[in-house]
Parts: sequence; structure tokens; C-alpha cells
Amino acid sequence: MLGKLLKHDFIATWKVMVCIDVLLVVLGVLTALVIRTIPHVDDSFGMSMFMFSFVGVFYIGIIAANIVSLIYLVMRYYKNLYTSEGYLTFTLPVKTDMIIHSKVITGSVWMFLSYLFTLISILIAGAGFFSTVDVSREKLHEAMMEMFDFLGFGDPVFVATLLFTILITPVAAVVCMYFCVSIGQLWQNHKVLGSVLCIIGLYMFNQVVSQLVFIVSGFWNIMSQTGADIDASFALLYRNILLLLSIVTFIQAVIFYVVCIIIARKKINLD
Amino acid sequence: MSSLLQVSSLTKKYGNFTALNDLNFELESGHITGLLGPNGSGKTTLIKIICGLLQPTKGVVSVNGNPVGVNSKKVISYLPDTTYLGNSSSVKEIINYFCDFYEDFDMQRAYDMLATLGINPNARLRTLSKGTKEKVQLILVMSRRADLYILDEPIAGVDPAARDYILNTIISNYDENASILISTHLISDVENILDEVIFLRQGNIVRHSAVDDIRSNEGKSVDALFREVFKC
Repeated sequence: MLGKLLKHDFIATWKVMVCIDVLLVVLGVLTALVIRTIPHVDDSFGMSMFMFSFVGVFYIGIIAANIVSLIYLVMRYYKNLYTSEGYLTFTLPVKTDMIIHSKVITGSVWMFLSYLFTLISILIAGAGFFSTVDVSREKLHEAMMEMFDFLGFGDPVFVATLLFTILITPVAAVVCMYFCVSIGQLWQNHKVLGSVLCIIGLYMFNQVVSQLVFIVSGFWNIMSQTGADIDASFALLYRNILLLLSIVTFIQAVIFYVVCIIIARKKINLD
Repeated sequence: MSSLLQVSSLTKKYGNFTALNDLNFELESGHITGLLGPNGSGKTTLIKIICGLLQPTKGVVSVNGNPVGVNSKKVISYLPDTTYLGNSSSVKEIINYFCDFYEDFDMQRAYDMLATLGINPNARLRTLSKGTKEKVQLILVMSRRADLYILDEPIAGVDPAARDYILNTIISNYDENASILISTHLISDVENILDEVIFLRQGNIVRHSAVDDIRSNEGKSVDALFREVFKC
């Protein structure tokens, strides 16, 4: 039955989500074209301003696209489960857990694709920028290799942590928002307000947790520092922060997932 | 006749308010039962618990011997008192959806009923009127070959001609071994199709009788008895 739920969830969402992903690529291509073309055509102050404004629009656009993707998926979760559509969803002959699994899998796949297309969009825009600066490919390649070395791409633990972070981030983003929607359902009235307050509360909580992670990582870094190599020390700090944040995000996602299932199983109260 | 639905010591509380109070009853196969009571008597709460949309505070509900869950949902066809279909889908897509999830869904029956009513299967639900959407919902529910049909206020808010159509659809589309539980307060409209009635008042069953018994013993119609029992 999970397969059928997934099939219908993907069918219901693909049009909007693919449109957003295409829009991201189009934004990247347009930005690259503007960056590449304008300085050759007209290098006046007005056109330069236009170019920088366009780059601004690009940044706002990619952030907005990701926010819209997440809001769309969360709205679907809310509507399918906790509005009148829930009368159909919860009377299907499937286990409640499967319904949540389906929503989380669908949402995570779409958010992963949103992030991926955001990266593609940035790379396209970046390619437009690098085509205008006078730098050889070899030098660019060399600089990138240096950066990768500095970040620790040669270290298998770091690469594993990075891959884990890349996989867990879209899942955590979706589950976190589903959790807030589910918590809102525990309110007798003003359920949407309850969800919004939960989002705000969770955001504040996560800010505190992030600060703690930074402090712990920094402290650990100072304690383990040999003083010989400042670059190595920064790289270590960066890796520790990534590792700790990914662990915290994973634990949080698991807890939120379980809470979503418990609320859907035990506390549904459709109006 | 075998017992299709068993409700034992069922209680539902919302804080201090008791919506259902220690209900006990059984429904047999092949019967049409009216769940009757004034607004706020607990009809919808009872139905939601049977359909798995609410958790009881206490007590047990079983359908064909199974507790409320996947197996009970397989044999219950439920029409809620609200429109539950998403607006973005077409009628055809919703039919495919039902076909995928309900093994007992008869697609041909659904298309026949749509044709009878002149509803275009390719129409998007957002383009349909509220009344037409309700008819599509009824068609979906009655196109299943379920053991138990639970219809919550199926004729509320529709004109008398539509009421006749809905009642005819219900009567002509259920198998004789199946049962129907209809919740309504428009008793005179459904009285002729009922085999038995359950009167519910403030979460308590005040009467569970066969319609023929009411007529022969009380010398009254169900509608007249309802008015007497629930007189304000």
C-alpha cells in the first residue's frame, strides 16, 4: 500500500514541484546570461546597477523557490491529513504509519531535488561569472582543489559526514514542518496558529542548539589544538560543527517523525 | 443473521464533556439502520469512531470481528457529512484513486452512475457545484461492494428531488447482505427504507428497535415517535 500512496502523492505534486525546479534553472541561466552579456554591451553605471540588481533578484529567487517548495509540501500535508480531506485519507485501508511514511518520503525527495536544482542554478550563474573574469581553467581548478583540501575532502570521515548531511537535511526540513503542523492539531481551536507558534518556538530552540554546537565545537577545537597549523585548526572546527549539527538534526528528525505518527494515530480530531 | 458491527462499552469524552456514554449495541448484516438524534446527540462522533477517525476514551468497536483498523476500513464505505475531495483532481482521477485503494470498488458502476447524472468524468472537481460534488462523493461510496455503508447526513442540505435520487441510489446499489447505517434528522424522508432505528440523546442510546415493532407496538411512525421522544 505504501507504493500506492507514494504513486498518488507524486502524481499530485509533480507539476508544481517540477515547475519550481525548472524555474530555478531558468533563473540560473538568465543570471549567467546577464552577467556574461551586459559588461560587453554596455559598461555604464546604469547597466552595472541593473546587473547587480539582477544578481540580487537571483539570490532572492532561489531562496523564495525553496521556501515556496517547503510551504507547498507542508500545505499538502496539512490539507490531506487535517482538513476535510483527512476524512478520505484516514479511512483508506492503510496503516496510519504508511500515510506518514508516504508524505515524508515524497516531501524529502522533492526537497532534495529543490536543493539539487538550487545548486545547479548557482553553478550555472557562477559559470557565467567565471566566464567574464580573466582566469585560466588550470588556476581555477587549482584553487578549487585547494579549497577541497582545506575543507577535508580527502578525509573519508568528512566525506561520509557531508553525504549524510546532504541526505538528512531535506528529510529534516520536511519532518520538522510536518511536526509543527501535527502539534497544531493538538489545540482545540486555532490549530493553524498553534502550528505557526510551534514553528517560531522550534526556530528559536534550534538557534540555541546551533550556538551550543558552535561553542562545544570551538571549545573542543581549542583543547585539541597543537598551535602548529592555523588552517588545519579551522578545518577541524568546521568539520566538528558539521558532524555535531548533522547528529543533532538526525536525532531531532527521528523524534519529530515519531511524534507525527503518534499524533496521526492517537490524536486526530477532524472538524 | 450474523453480527456485522459490535459496539461495547463505548465512551468518548472531550475534557469534562461526555459525547458518548457507555454505548452497547450490535448491527446485523442485511439491515438498514437509522442513527437518529437531534444535533449534538453524538451521531457523528459515533460514526467517526467506527470509521477510525477518532479514538474512543473507553470501549471497543469491532467490524466483522476485527477491531477498527485496516481490516475494518476495507469493508466500510463511508460518506462523511462534508466534502472531502481535493479540488485539484478530476472525477476520473478520483475514481482511479478509489480503484487503487479499494479492492471492492466497481469502476463500471461508478461510470454508469456518472452517466445517469450527466457528470463529465473529465471535469475538475473545482468546476463542479457543491451539490454535484456531493453526488460524486455518493457515487464513489455506493460504487463499492462494501459490507457496511456508513452515511452521515447524506440528504442534509439538498433539495427534495436530489433527496429522492440519493435514497434511490442508496437502495439500488447495495447488496442484500450488506448493511447501511444512516445518520440523519430528516426522518420522514428515510423512514420508508429503514429496518431499524437507534435513537441517540446526549451520547446515550434511548431506543434501539425494529421499525415494524415501533409501528405495531406504538402505533406511530418513526417520525412521530422521534418528535415525541425528543420534544423540546
